[in-house]
Amino acid sequence: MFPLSLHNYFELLALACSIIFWKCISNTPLKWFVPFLIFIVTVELTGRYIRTELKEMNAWLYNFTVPVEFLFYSFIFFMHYHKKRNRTLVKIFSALFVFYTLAWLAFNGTEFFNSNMLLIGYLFMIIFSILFLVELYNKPGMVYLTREPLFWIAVGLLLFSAGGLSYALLTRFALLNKLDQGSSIFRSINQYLNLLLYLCISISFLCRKDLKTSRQTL
Amino acid sequence: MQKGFEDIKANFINHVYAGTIVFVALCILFIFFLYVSIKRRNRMTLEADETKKQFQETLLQAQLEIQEQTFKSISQEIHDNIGQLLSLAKLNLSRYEIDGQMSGESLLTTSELVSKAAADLRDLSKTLDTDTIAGIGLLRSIETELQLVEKTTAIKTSFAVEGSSVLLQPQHELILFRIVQEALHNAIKHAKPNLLSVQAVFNDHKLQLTICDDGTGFDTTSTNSFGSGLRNMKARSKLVGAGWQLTSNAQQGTCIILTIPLNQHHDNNSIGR
Repeated sequence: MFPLSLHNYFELLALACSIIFWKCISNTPLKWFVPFLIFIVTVELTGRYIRTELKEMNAWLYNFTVPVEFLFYSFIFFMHYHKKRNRTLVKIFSALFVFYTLAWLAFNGTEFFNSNMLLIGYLFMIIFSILFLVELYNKPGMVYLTREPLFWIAVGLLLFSAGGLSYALLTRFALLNKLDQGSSIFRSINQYLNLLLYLCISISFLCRKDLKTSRQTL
Repeated sequence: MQKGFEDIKANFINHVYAGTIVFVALCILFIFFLYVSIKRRNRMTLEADETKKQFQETLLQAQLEIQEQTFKSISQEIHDNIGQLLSLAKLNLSRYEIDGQMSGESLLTTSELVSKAAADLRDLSKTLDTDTIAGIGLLRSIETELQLVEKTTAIKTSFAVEGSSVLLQPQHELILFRIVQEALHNAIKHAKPNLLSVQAVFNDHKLQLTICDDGTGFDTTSTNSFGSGLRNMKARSKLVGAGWQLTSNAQQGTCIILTIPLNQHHDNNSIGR
């Protein structure tokens, strides 16, 4: 299990930042990152333990936890969106995503990882991030991008999801042709993308300008 | 098609990595453009705020200068004109004190002198009204200023308006008036003119204000020719979006031409005064 992967340290860094800057984020929706990052770190370490120590498949774990991640980020965007249309889109996506995930698990069980869920999640995270950035662009008056915590989260999520999209698009092809047995390609790409994502999340806690949600400040 | 699949199979890792890099690069490009656009917009907002602030400062400064110039003119008018009239009237009256009698003609003259002084005072009180420009408009203000110049100096003035006059924004009118006033008083101070003329020409798109004197003129190509007064006028013209042009030749007088685009200033609800 040890040493941990590089991205695990970045997850721990993000968690540490969220705890250190708790006072600054405690009155904002970003406070939910503390339990979320505890959850992420626990899941990642558990998954790693199952794979490296128990030498067992950990797909079942991610079948439950990946949807939670996407839903969490959707919730964060929902809290920050100014436009009602965007908030409605998040609501619809969340409801359909939960329904789809549960239906897939009911029909396919937990043994194999649901790669379609990853593809859908990535696509919507890209859409939500872009929608947020566009809202930020249209915000009247002076906008200090680098001082907007959710800008960093949106950037991290956009890069993470866009980077993962190419693999997610080819997953079925790879499985059918046994091109990525042991998911080593997926893991290597995902490691760097996770590194980017959690680095951006860590930076977002350092930007203490926006103590309210963007929706409140717009 | 089959060949394509075989190619993807053979270079699967490369395809995935290439796809990842392309998608990430596209996102970075998007974020970069967003960042640059917002930064540019912020800079423009700051510049707009700065211009607005500068405009307000200039407006205040122009108001103060107009007031100062008005006080100077009034002081001169009181001293040179009203003071003289009243002194003459007093002289006539003092004869009555000495002789104990006064001829009808002398009484009539004294009465005329006092009436003239009262009329001049009435005119002066109008110029003391701080809302004059806002109240009577740019053209009437220029006309009054020229009348005051003619009264307080030996210089002849002329004022002409062509086309249908249009009301401008009050702040712009004030700044334009100050430019005209400064141009007139600069000419009086430095050019020793015999005639000062102001011409306002309105057409569909612009107002052209021409302030000319027939004084000594100066060499506009000389680096020392642009004093702070001229620089001020030029900067103020720019602030109200007016074009500024200066023509001058030695012994041939000076002309300042202000071109004000009317689409920026035009008030649709107003008709010329």
